[in-house]
Amino acid sequence: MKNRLKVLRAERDWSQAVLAEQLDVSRQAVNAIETGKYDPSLPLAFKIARLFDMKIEEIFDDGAQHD
Amino acid sequence: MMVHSMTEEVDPGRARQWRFLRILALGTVLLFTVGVTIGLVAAHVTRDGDASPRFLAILAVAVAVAAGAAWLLLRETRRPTGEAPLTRKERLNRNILIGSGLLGGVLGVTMVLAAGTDDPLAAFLDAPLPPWVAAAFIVILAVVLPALSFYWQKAAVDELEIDAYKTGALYALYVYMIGAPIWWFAWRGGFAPEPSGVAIYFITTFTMLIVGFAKKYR
Repeated sequence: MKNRLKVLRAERDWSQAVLAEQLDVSRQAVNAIETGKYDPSLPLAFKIARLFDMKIEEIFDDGAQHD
Repeated sequence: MMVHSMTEEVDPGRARQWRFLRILALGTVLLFTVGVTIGLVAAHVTRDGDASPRFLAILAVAVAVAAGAAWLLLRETRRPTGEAPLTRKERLNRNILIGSGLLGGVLGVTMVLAAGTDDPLAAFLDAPLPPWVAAAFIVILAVVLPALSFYWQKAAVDELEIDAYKTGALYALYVYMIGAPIWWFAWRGGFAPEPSGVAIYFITTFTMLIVGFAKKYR
């Protein structure tokens, strides 16, 4: 699943460690999500969305076509 | 978009794979040299022999290599990215793993010394143990280990790591479900030694750990 996490993080000048600390996960988890190797759980996706004050679908894109 | 240096990725690409290999190699060296050290000391104690210069030299080398590997391993895990400090969860995770490793080392040494045999391998595998030692091990495995594992799962690992270990557990279960009966049939057919519960336990456990680590650090 594609996502804008790396861009959003860079816009705020946060390191992966800073983001990981705020999400209460490891840096490996942040890195794995950013590189698309791991899709976060729904609770973590909501947490990410709240942190950036955005909707989940504004951050994550499952590639499905919208009607 | 230009990414600020503060936002560098952790362990990108090949560097992460090399790091995984370094941790694996250091862990293997550490386990091997600790095993050699325990074996040497146990054999020496049970035989009540004199400490010859050759014995002391081999022991010193084993201890030095084990200490060096432990230090490098600690250094490697302390700063996984080589850049930023560990997060709170990563520190707790590391400390629990180190504590568990030390507990395992103490238990291993206790088992070897309590077995009272001059064969370190037998001391690990099937030598009789004093009842109080066996009872203590049972309590640790039945009470302390589940409690520590529960706390570790709840407080120290995140969902990425839990997912990795779940995958490792699934692979380990398949290895057990398929491998154990294969060994059993091979034994009954006369072309393999009798199945060893200890060997099956370690094969299953290592499968879970290796697959879990590989998935976490891939």
